[in-house]
Amino acid sequence: MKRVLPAAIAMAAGFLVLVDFFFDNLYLNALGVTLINWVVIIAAFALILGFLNILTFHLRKIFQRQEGWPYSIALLVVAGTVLFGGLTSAQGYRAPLVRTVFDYVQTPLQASLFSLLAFYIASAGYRAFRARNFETFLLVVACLVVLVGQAPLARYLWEQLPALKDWVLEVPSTAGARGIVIGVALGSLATGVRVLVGFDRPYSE
Amino acid sequence: MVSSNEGLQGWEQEEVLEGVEEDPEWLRELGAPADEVRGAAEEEVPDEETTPGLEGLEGLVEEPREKEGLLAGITGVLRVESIFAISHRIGEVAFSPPAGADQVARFEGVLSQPLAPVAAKEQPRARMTGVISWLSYLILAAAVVGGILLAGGSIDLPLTQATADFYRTIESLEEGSVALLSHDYDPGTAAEITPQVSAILDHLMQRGVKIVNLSLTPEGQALADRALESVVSDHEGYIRGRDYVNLGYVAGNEVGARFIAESLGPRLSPYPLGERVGGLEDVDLIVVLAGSQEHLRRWVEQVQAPYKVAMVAGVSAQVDPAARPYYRSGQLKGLLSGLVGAAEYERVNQHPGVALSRMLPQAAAHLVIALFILLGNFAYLVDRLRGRG
Repeated sequence: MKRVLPAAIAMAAGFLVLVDFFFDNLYLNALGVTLINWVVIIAAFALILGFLNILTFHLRKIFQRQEGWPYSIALLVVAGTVLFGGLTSAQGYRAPLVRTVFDYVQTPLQASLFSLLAFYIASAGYRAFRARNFETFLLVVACLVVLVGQAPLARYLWEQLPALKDWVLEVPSTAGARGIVIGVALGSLATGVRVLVGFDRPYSE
Repeated sequence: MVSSNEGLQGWEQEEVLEGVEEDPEWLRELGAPADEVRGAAEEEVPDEETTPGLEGLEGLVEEPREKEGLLAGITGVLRVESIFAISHRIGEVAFSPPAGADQVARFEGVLSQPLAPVAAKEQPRARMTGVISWLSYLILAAAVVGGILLAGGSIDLPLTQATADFYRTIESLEEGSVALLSHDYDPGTAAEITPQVSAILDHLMQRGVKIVNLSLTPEGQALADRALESVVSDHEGYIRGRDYVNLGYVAGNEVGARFIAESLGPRLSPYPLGERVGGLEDVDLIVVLAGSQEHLRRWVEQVQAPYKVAMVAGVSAQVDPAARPYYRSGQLKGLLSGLVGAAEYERVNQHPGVALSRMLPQAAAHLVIALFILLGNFAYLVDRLRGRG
């Protein structure tokens, strides 16, 4: 019963939403929408569970004085501040306290972290991005064409460079990306069918 | 010897024994038959017996530690001499250098070769790598700062087809049409996408389009607020709730997109705009602002394909290759890619903004990185020609 009941519920829900996708029926549509609404509510509660999980994990880390425990204090203080600011204000996430933390802590930190990529790419470009054989030579050439072609001054270097960049993006790159998209779609389809017929049971793991 | 092979299959034991019996030619030349040497060794070192009177002393006896050569620092190394020396039981014969002694001497010579020069070569190379890294950081920083300081002049950007299509799609919206903007990015990609959002919002408000904003990422709701605040101030008469709303974060990822498609009307009902929009069928255009390809795929798969709503996308440059198949197939009516896309849009909309002013520093950074790649490959080529690559 422990194995059969969750599988039956999951399969029934999956089939309902799938059938709703293909047929325009009032009752089916109402059922499908209800199930979708449930998922959104459950996902929102999962965020609360996630927060509680983080809370217990870092509290344990602090009490047991595990490596890096002062960082856990910083994390909990900021999380608590944002939660307090949001819950005690009618403005919710627009509350001044939440906004301050977002504008002056989260945004600059995330932006800085992402900006560092440019420096690592510059260093890696010199040290590792080498034309060791024909395939890597093509890769280096394509990279240079797109990198320089993307710059607004590219056409002053060579008039046809922006057009060549567009060709690289439109033809070989899109062909590769399309192959990946189709592959992902087929994989998703296969996974979906396996879950629907009960071969895979991610919900009971 | 045989006891150590217990547990092996019959054919495996045969193979092992065959291997043991085949002594190398130079060992056979020493004169002592292999069987005799093996037998003597087995007599002298009993398997699990301790010499009488020495019980408990095993751990106290320290074996000599190698002081030089490849085995430096290792204890318990069997001395080469003890293997090849003639057994003392044959000692009545007058001593003469055994056959194969020259091989022994050569083997010891190999072992005692110093290791130091190899390590010494590695150190300057590692130091050089560190210097190159720091130099590249400095040059890149200088290029970006120089680009920012010099920015201000007008840059004539060529307009790509994808951007032109995006512009035409919004230009075709009539006054009072409804556009749904999904802000699916975070502060990491905001530097690229926020200028796009500002340019798009500005154009939509010029056209008098009603705007519904939401986000499938938690950070997107706050970023959408910032963008709306900065653009609305230039468009008097645009009122929150009546002309534009921000529904905030919708949880559930893929299901969140479907949820909006199915339940947009009820979500908008508390606002005056809800009187105009009863559901997705009243939305004329969906604008997806995606910082990752998953966010874009969600909207295309869950909303565009089943509901056939017109859709355009503004994406970070890294998402561009994944977004192009959807643009080429016609599922996306237009595509803005990265900061360059935003700058092109500002130019075509004749409303220069932050994206156009950032073109010069970005171009400088691109050129510097391209230069590093060329230099790296040149250095590699030189190394190969010298036979070191």
